[in-house]
Amino acid sequence: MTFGLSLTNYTGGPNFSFTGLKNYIIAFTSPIFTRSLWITLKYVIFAVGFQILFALLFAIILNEKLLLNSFFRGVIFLPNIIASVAIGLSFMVILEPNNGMLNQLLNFFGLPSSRWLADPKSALGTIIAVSVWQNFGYYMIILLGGLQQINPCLYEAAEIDGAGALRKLISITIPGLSPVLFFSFTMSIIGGFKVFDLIYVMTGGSEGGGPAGSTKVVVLEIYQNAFQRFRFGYASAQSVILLIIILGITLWQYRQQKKWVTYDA
Amino acid sequence: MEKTKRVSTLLLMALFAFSSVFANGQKESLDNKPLIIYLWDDPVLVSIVEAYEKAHPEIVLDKQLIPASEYRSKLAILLAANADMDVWFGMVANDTLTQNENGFIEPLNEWFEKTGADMKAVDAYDQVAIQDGKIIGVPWRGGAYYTYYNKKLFKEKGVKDPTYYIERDEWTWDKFAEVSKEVASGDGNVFGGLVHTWTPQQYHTSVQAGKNIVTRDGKIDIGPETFTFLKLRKQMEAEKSMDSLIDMKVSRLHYSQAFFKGNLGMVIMGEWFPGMLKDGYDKGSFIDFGWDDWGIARVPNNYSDYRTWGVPTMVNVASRSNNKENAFKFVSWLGSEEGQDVVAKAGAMPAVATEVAKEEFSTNIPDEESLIYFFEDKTAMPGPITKYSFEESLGVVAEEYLLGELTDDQLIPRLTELLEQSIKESN
Repeated sequence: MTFGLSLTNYTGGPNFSFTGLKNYIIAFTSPIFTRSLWITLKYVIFAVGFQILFALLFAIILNEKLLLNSFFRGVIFLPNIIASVAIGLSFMVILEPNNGMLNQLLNFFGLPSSRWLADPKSALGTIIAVSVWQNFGYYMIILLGGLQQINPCLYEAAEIDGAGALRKLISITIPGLSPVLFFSFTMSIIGGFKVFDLIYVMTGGSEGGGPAGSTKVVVLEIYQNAFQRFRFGYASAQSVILLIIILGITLWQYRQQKKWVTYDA
Repeated sequence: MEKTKRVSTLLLMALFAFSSVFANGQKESLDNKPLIIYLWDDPVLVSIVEAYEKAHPEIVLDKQLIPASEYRSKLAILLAANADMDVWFGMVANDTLTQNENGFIEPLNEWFEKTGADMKAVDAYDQVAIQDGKIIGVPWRGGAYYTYYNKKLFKEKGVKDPTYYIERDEWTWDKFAEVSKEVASGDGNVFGGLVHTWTPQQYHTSVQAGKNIVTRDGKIDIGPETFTFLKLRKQMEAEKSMDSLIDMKVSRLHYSQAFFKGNLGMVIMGEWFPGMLKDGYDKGSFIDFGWDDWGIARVPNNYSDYRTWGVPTMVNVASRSNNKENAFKFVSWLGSEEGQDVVAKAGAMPAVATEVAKEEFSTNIPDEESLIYFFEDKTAMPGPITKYSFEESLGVVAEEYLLGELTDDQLIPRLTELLEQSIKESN
């Protein structure tokens, strides 16, 4: 259905015509669309990278027998069950460029403040940070489950052989976690490409996209074309392009997993 | 066998008789079929529709209320899905062009001819209400921008208010910036003037100059006047006499809240604002100023004739409606003197201002002088009425410029480049 619409100039009514690949040609020659793809890619690389890195770090820490272990696991996982809209609205208040709580706190400690969402240089980074805070707890729980599946005898044997913490991490933990890491990366990348709600809420709703379009991701561009400008045909073409990109990356990951994922740890 | 035949015949006759009665009932219910009206949750709009209900108890209204923030997108989907709809209130004039192209709108020419209904509202805003010779809607609310100002703040600062300069034909955009600076505290606690974050408003001077940015046939129509206000805004933001557009966007500060706080000298806003102010005052939202402490004056204007940006708000009849007669009664009533008086009483600017309408509207205005400015003769420039989507280009240029990424000399080439792309994408 979406692909069919992408080949037309459909604007929501019966009077539309077949336009072939015109919408696709427009999309690939549109600086606005190609820029939104580039912004999305930057978001995916950093958000996914930090989400998995923090998830792994905290999973390893909280896999040890620490005091208040369950409490910390719960606290870290908590942002993931809060609605993105609520998180976005809260952070809008916290990050307000003039009198926001975060800037006031930084000023109190004599640290330089930032314009956060109001500066094109920091807006995307700010949203990535909020997204990482919201999501890494989810992957941490998955990785924790993976860690507990690794045979403890492997660590004992490595210690007898004189392996240090880093060697154990590289030679036992990472390979042992590789199926779970593969799943986490795949899901996180798909989620990253589909990012919308945080950006919509934190950068001005339907008129959003950050200062001078610095946080305008693909899904927001699709949303604005469909529901602000009623260019459903063009928005459908952009959606198909996004689907192909996500599908392509996911298939590439599946092919690459043979090189680093082990299912016999 | 014979018995069976008789019973069958009787059954068929009974069925036929029942069908006839049912069909009659159907006809009756079609006559009294509720009129399905789509509108957004604006208290002013709701009260107007309720007033019609009271005045016409014979017509049953099925009111479909949608939150304002979701109205445009939901309406587009409902129209695309051929939802049952007789009448809808349009929010943005340019959306009507797409709706008209898609055949969703019933042309009203024949209806007006047939009934002899009052066409003053259509004639008052014919540039928007009539497209390709077809009357596509009835303007129920007029359009104009004004300067709303906080008299108390002006008095406290010892600054002459906009009316002083209007009387001397000096109320230009430069004067607006100058007066804003005088009122402002300079540290961001008190701002002198405000033009809200809406992208088109940053190009107010372009509309006043008659430059439509993109014409109906897809030609670029810009000039130096296009950027007059934008350049002033940059200067005003630097002086802290106007709040930063980007800061306001990220904090999503509503213009009404900015004015209610009592630390804003002036706001350039549309004709619906008095209704909002009345509502805000009744709810006790005014901080440190009262009902008599605000006023209305002309919008800043660089021309000898008084020009303001004025787009009407229209009501449309659905081409798929099965209840067109009642639908037309409703929309033509809104454009009639009686309907326009109700619109004024509700706190909206009528498309056609009768003496009664002015009288009714006066309860929403603090003083006689403001009422005169509100209803005085003006040239209402409709702005760009086009199917081309170019608002995003305007937004990008405005923000790049305010962020210092564009120089004055780069404004025209940059906007031209983006507009060309927008036109190409829209074709």
